[in-house]
Amino acid sequence: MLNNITLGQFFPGNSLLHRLDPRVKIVLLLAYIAALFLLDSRSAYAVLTALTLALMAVSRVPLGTQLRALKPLWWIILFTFAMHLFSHPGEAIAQVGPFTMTWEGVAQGAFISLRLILLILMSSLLTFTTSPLKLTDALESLLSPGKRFGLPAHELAMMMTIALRFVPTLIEELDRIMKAQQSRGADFTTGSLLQRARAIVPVLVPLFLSAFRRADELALAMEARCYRGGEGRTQMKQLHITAIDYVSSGAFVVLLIVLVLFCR
Amino acid sequence: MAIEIKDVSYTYMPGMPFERQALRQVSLTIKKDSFTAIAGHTGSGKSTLVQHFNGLLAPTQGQVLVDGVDINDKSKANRKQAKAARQSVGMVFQYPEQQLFEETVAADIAFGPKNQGLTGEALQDRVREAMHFVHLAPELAERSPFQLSGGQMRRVAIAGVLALNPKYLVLDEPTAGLDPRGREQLIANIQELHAQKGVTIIFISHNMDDIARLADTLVVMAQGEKVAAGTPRDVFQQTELLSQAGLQPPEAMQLLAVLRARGLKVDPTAMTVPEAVQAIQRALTERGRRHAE
Amino acid sequence: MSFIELEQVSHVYQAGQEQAHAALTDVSLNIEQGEFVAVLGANGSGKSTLARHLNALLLPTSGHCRINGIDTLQTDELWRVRQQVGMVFQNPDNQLLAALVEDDVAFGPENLGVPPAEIAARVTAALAAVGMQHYRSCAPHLLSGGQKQRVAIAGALAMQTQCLVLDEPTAMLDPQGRADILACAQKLHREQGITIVYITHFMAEAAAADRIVVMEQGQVVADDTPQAIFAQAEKMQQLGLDVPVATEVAAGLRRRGIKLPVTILTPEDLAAALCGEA
Repeated sequence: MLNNITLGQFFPGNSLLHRLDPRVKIVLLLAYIAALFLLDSRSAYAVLTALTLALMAVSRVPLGTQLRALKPLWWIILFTFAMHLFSHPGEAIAQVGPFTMTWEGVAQGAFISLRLILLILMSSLLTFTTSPLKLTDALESLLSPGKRFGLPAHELAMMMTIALRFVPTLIEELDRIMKAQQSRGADFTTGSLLQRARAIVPVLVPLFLSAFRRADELALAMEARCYRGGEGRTQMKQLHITAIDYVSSGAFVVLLIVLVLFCR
Repeated sequence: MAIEIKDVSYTYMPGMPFERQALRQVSLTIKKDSFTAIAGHTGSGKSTLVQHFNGLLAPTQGQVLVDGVDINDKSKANRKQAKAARQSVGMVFQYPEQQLFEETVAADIAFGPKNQGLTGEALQDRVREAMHFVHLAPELAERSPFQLSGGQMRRVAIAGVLALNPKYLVLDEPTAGLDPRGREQLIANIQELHAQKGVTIIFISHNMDDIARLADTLVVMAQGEKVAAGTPRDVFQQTELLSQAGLQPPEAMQLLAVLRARGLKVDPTAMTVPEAVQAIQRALTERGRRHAE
Repeated sequence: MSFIELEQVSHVYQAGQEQAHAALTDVSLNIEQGEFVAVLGANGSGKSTLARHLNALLLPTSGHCRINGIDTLQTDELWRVRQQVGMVFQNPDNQLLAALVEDDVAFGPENLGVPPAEIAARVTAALAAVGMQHYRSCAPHLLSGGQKQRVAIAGALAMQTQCLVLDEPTAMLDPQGRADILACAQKLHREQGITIVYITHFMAEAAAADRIVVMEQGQVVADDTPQAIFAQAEKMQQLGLDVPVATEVAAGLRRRGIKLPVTILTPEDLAAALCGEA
């Protein structure tokens, strides 16, 4: 029931995108998103769409898997599209009650939807090709200049790592506790909102207790393995900027400049 | 009067990339008053199977009948009956102490019967009775369950299920993680429930020695299928099948197998320690007689 | 000098408070380098408290605990103690913290500041030593309990630990997992000479040790070879402990007047006694 939630949708592989430094990927993704929002010409979007499709192919992540990333946001995309259909003045196509559907609306709706779709596809490409661990390492590395201003970069990254590790475990546990209380006659699905909120208590209390117990034991295990914060710590997997990172970033920057200059 | 599993298949996450068939056409009858053990390697489908007994999981295919009632019948006419049938099966999960949540032992045990609509004196009686059955001293009633020892907490959790007055009680590895003393106490409790209160017991266990001395029926699961069912003595004789299912016979039987391999003609059907002692003694006497002749 | 020296160690939880509770009382115990010691005792007998003293997760409230000559009360040497004594805990889920097996094994050496290339080599060796090399890039939550425990052992090995303290590592495992963990500990003991302190409720596991320490109410009540310990079957049962099946059967046969030595631990021992040497 609950185990179909996949967190950290990493898809192991050895494609160009997998090999890129995660920090470079994050920075380039941010630049790409900026471009998506700053540019609005058709030619620019044609290029960005082509780029996205090309990278999707390069990643070697099965297309079906990639498209599934759109699934949870499908309704938002459709809703946005529908909103735009009726909210732009212009040549009328159809009339629904007081609302007029226009060609301009269709165009604008398609454009905004495309923007959303590209945004989602490209962001999920980052999570498909970067293990959650590399992502945390990248965040730690990108945030580490903030240490000087008291930003706990290492601690944040460690918290993310542990969260990634324990989410599946806690989901399993939640499932078990819910079933156990259901077996004792708890009912989570009927009754008023207040009744349902109350029915959650017998689930939440054991879940929290268990989470605390786990936290306690994990802290002990970490201490036993000489954990003492980020100070003096090394990392097995070091992030290295390599030739492909330079080439990819260079190519991307050139592309952006071209887009900004010629496709506005 | 029985739990009848008829041709049940169950698939986790059908139509998803992680689709997995956990049960394949399992048919099984658990007779009222029996003491049934279910064994199988991790991932053999035994936990999925027992979760069908009280409707926590509904079969993808097939039917589950409790005392003749289809417990997954959603039709208006039979819904009430189906619910009552589901409630006649109590379920104790692995490490059940992890589901405790109330401030006092009594309040936690009362959770189930309260959900059934019991109040006042009747509710108090239920709680007292349940505590009595698992040998929890009455003075523990007002204590916080979280101050008790591990073994006591487990008994509180089991009392919480017993307070529902189940006809059938399913226990998933009830003794896991307990020390030998705690294990023996709990096993004695479960035996009493069966003998004195007439509760039908169904338990999942990895411990073949416990199965040998407790159960009258043993069901072996492997890869989502029922591969054997019968008396433990009969099932344990099928060594080939057991090892295919990733199980080993009870330690006493393994011991006798070693002796037999070394030429001592011991009874191959002995499966508990007292039986093994008897079998060896008999074999020694026999050997002595042959030597004398 | 023994590798582990406990000298009149006592430990009181919440000392000086109302709920003060003595978990260890005057425990003196030496464990030599390369020994395989099993620790038995009912729940609450102080086994875990003892284990946690061995790598300075707990410090004696009185007495001294020395690991390879280092007194654990010297807090500046804490990391050297913890590096030399690796811990494996009961719950396999609550000691792995990384989302990939290899990253988890790397955690210890990373904390010690080992150079990255060497960490990678150590991770490879440690995973191979516990037979988990094929699961290197697997997520821990997809492993079985026994596999998780082996990863936890690898995590300690990667720190180049000299001693493994396993605190009921098999309590939550199925028979297959139990057998795997015991075999793994025995292999490390035999091949790498690692000192093993193995806490368990399963007598078949304890019988595999060179020496058994029995605890009761925070004290060591017996410390001897498995043969000598299990020869006192009744005493063990009074302490809430079992004896191995072969020992129990032999005791039953003796009660029926069959002459058998009291040192029988395994089916092979019994076979040798009843059928002569193989």
